[in-house]
Amino acid sequence: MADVTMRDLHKNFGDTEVINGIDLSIKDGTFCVLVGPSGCGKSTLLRMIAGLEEIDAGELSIGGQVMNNIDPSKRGVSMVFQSYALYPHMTVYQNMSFGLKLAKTSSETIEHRVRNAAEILQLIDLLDRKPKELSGGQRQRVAIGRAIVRNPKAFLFDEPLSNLDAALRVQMRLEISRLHRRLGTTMIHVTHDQVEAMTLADQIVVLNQGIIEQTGSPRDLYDRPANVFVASFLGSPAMNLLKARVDGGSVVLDGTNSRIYSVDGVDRVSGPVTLGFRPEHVELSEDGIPFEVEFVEDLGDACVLHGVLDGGPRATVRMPAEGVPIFQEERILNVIPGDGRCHLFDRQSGRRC
Amino acid sequence: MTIYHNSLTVKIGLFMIVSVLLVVFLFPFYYALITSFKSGSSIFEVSFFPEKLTLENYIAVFEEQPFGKNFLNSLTISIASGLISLLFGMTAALPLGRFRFKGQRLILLAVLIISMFPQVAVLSGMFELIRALGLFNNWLGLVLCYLIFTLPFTVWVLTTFIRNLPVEVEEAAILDGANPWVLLTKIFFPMMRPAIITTSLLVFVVAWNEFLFAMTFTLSNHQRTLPVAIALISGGSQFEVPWGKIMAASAIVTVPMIALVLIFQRQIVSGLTTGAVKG
Repeated sequence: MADVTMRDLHKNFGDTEVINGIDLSIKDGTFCVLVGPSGCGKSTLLRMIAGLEEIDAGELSIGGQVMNNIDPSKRGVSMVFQSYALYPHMTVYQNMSFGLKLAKTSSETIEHRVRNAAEILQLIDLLDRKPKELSGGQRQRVAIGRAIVRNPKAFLFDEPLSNLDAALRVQMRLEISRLHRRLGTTMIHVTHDQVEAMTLADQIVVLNQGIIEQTGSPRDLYDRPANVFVASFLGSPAMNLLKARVDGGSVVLDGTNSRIYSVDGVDRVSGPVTLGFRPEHVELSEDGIPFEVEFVEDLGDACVLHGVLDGGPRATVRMPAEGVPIFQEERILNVIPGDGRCHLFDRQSGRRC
Repeated sequence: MTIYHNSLTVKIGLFMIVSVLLVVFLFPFYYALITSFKSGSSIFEVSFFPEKLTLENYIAVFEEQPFGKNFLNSLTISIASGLISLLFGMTAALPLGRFRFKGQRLILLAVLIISMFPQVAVLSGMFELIRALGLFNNWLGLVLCYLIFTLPFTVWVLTTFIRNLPVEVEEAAILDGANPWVLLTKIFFPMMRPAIITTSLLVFVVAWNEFLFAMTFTLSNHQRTLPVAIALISGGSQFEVPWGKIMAASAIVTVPMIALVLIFQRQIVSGLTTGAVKG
């Protein structure tokens, strides 16, 4: 079994704390995605697991074995880098077999494993090519192949798709998913792309400033964000987060007299809060809040409307395309967040109420 | 661009310019070469196509002085300078290019400044140093001198090259289980081949052509290097300059240079890292 467990991990670069006490356990065979804005420490965390960055404090174990001071190559992990990092002077075959050769694997085993990986990744015809003769997608597959042949306990992916163009990225995303299903190995994938995170992950870890904001299944994080950060980070367009106060069982938006009823959790709080609701969970309703449309973005299947709620706060609304004729700038619509689709966050701490 | 390329006048103009340049650059070599094959008074007749070719001068060069020994000296010194410069250059460039430490900029700057002193300025100081080390009239003394002037260049070029190599390739190798030695020999050397070949070749050329130190720090005919030996080729009387022999010797000196460039021209030009990272 190759569970990956982290206990209170710390890492400083000079005076800056990059990783600030990470507790995380990733079960064997899980596809775990580390996601967060740039500079949140997600790549550093991955490199600490790989052994490319030293661990200042805390404990990292892979498959029950403490790895803090074990050589990178002996941790049983393979890494795929953002820039592919192929050896430019070696052929595809040599690139993939380099690690096995250094480990003194017998040449039959090497041959067998490389052929096997090349078959999975459709690289058989390219084995004699040098990296410079390959396209971006092919190079990426070679990098993944190099990771596969080592039979790792865990794969580490450091933003492997961010150098590919949009169409190729979708295709490689599927291939990685398929690979995970086929190999059943633990995979830890770093990305800043929330679509990648949502589609690939069994478990998402949202990082911010060196700490874990929330971890759970994609559905959990989307439906029940633990705080304002996660709420605003996942979902596109981002969740509306409006200042409001709870007053007698309903929520009043600041700067307006509009009330929203049927919000979960209003009975537990009172006073100032942050009200969150996703643009796609807003419905048209006769007795809704007046919403003056300022900009319309027509996406084809849907329209994203940016505007002002009842003369007060700005908000974004996403509507199915059927209503297109009425979605015009300067038009006033009556809208309301769907039942049970509102989230309440503490104004000070940002935590979910 | 295509429009200009297709125009006949531009083509002719380009051809003319290139021809003139080629003549200007190559004529001195050509003239030296044909002079070396002439003998006696025909050397002083201006002719561009010699009627009679003789190897007289070449034979004389080797017979009248230890020219073969001089050639060997030059070769040893140049190769040694190239290799030692590479060894120290690589070991200095790796930490300078890969790690960050205090005083790094200062070291690089100091290295650069050293290379800016004119040779004459350090000549007398070097003389004392060489004598104190007991390397006077010894080829090792010359190698030491040449390192002083070639190492800064080598260190700078290799440092810059290493800085431009993607760190991820190195990290991938570490994850693949490469120890520092494997990293150096299997990853760094192959990736740096163009830079390594170019720099050691330039060091070789500098050592091969150097005159001032070689002149000052050698005493006996048998320890001299080629440039000095050529300068000291003398004629029958002090009023005679033996042009034929000098030209023959010069031709001999040039041959290894041309051979080296021809052998390594592909490595010098190739950019090997393309394909390592994106794009």
